[in-house]
Amino acid sequence: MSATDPTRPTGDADVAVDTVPTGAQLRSLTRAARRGHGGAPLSQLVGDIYTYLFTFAVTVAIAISGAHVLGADFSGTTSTSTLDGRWLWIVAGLTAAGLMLGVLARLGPIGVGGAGALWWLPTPVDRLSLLRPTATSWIAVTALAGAIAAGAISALTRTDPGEIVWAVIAGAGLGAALAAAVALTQTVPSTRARVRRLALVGDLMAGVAVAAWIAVGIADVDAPVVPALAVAVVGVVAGVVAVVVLLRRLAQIPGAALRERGARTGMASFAVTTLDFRELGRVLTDPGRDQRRRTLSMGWVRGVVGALTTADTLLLLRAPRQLVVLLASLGLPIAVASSGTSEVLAALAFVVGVYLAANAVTAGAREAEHAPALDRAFGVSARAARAIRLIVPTLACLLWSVVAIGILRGLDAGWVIQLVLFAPAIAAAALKAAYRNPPNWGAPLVVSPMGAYPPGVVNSLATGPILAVIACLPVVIALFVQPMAILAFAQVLVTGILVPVAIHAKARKAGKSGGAGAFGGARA
Amino acid sequence: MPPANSAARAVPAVRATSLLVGYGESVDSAVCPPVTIEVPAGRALAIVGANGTGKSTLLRAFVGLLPALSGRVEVLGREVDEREASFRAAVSTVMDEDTSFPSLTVREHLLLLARGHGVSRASALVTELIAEFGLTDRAAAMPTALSSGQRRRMLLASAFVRPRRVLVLDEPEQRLDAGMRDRLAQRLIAERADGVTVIMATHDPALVSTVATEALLISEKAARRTSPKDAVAAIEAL
Repeated sequence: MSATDPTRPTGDADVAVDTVPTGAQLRSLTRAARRGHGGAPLSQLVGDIYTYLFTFAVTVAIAISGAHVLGADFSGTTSTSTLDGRWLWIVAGLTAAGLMLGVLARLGPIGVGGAGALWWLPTPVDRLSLLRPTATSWIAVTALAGAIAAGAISALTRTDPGEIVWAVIAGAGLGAALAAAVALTQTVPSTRARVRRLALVGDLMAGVAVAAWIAVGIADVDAPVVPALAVAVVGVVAGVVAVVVLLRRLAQIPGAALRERGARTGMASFAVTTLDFRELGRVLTDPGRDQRRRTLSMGWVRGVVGALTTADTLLLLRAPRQLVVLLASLGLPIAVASSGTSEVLAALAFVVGVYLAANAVTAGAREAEHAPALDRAFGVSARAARAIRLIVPTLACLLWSVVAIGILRGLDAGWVIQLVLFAPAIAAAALKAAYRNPPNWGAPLVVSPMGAYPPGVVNSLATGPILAVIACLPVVIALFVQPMAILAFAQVLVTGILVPVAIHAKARKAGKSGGAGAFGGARA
Repeated sequence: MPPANSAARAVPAVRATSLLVGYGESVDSAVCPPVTIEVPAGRALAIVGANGTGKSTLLRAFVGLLPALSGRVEVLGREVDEREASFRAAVSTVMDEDTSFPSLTVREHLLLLARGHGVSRASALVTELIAEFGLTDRAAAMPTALSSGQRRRMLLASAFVRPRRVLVLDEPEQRLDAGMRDRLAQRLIAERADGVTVIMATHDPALVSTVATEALLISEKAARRTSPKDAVAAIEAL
């Protein structure tokens, strides 16, 4: 180290560095470096999006044509509303708040990502300016999510325009307040158990809200009258107070907390940036929540089928968030149908709901894609392992759709046959999404106004949803025209195509052979 | 694990022919010189060399996780395809993946693997392995709650809880204390005696001298077969 080395301690308390960059400058330098990895044309991303939108449009057109041929009427509305709109407001609001709380508590939410924790935190920049953009981003995102959720629910329950505006304001305020309140818990030293409990409160809040909705529906209880204006005022005041307090205390978040949860936040941010909901689900599943637990004997496991289905089942049963998603996804089509809205919207809610449910129960497959050693550890082929991984999602999706259709349409033999044929198809769509190849981050990135994306990100994103739409086509048509033999046959075709596609395991791509290359060939 | 019969011994357990490995698509991206080697059943091959000479990459090709740039690899007489049931049933690996079944405790993870392979006396075997690898106090813990070294022990135990004819280990000594390294060496010697073929990349001279029956020394210029004694000398000279 030379005497002029600017990082050399001088003997004084200070290090001989001319100026310390602000947090904003440090972030700016990082963004510039990220842009330096660009190079792939934007047209590649646009082309991918166009391809999938076109595929989606063609699929929907086929469905509409088929349904018309079978005499479907798309102009109808769901049966007269059976649910008091105010209950829907309360239940949906609590569910949304619970889900947001669960997500926020698991992610921190304030953090700077794994690389940020490694390279930014040791620098002498002031912590407040470094963390403020993260905090404001979270607050803005949750405020927006709250506004959209409240606005949608309000519109769905057909309240007057004035109430919808107040609902949007209330949703935004409460969303911001929720994010800021959870972030405030980070400013005090917190144990992992406390964080887990907070996340669990969110999960339970969402679960209890759905259960309460079913209960009030059965008991036919009138909902309390809550003035929308009052809720909006409370929401805004709570939001402003929480945000102001948070921004004052932001610098108090301990470095240890930022490091520990920074990695998780980074993974989740990465998943959101790339719209990779498989990765997001994996981050939020939090499999290692318990330090110890009662060990099962596994005595019922006989062979690889029992082993993999047991692993998948225990992963589901030991992850409260997945169970809540399963329950909440079931509530989605039922709530939409009960609101007396259009049949088309109810059918759309069914598709979204069943795909959410299928994703919730394929966490085992997502883990296996992330850690292929788990499937390789057994004496079955890759294809067989994936087929076995289809069992639990298929059973769960069958149960889900039987309950949903039972409530929406009433079950008869035709529906049971249709759903038995449908369950493996929607499970296959989710399984394919779980095992899909990740985008190639090693290639030049596509730099777009919304950020940098790897080539193939749209393909990675769209694989599952497109297959889910295809899987649901016959069932959706049946929702309009009742199950019939031709729809059962169509479902057999769809399932017969999707299941082999989902369990197919590609060979690893071989390199080009021949030639001595950089090294001469000598027998060892 | 029963010893391999004489017919099985006639075919090399692992055979690499002019194998060139790397992470690109052309042979120019090779990370080490081409390798041609045969390892009979019941023998132990130590792959040694400095950091970055391609030891782990070579192991990945041996177990089908990385396609060869050129040449071929056969395990138990068949070209490697890690997707095949027969390959997965015969080859047990501990690579650099730090993985376990999520939501399962250490004991449950091992039990699931054993029962998934139809191992008789699975519970007793798991208890023995947990004790051998010093995890008795942590048997009911989630793997994510283990220390780095304990997780390594669990992964090694995972490789021994299931039937195997070929054992592939990437630097198995990593993160293990001296006592555990000694016990691992004794376990690998016993594996060899039972007819299991051991292929390991290692930097541990003690593991090479006690376990290996042959060695592959990789440098930037050549990959050559050598004796364990010479391999130990090469490691100590690095």
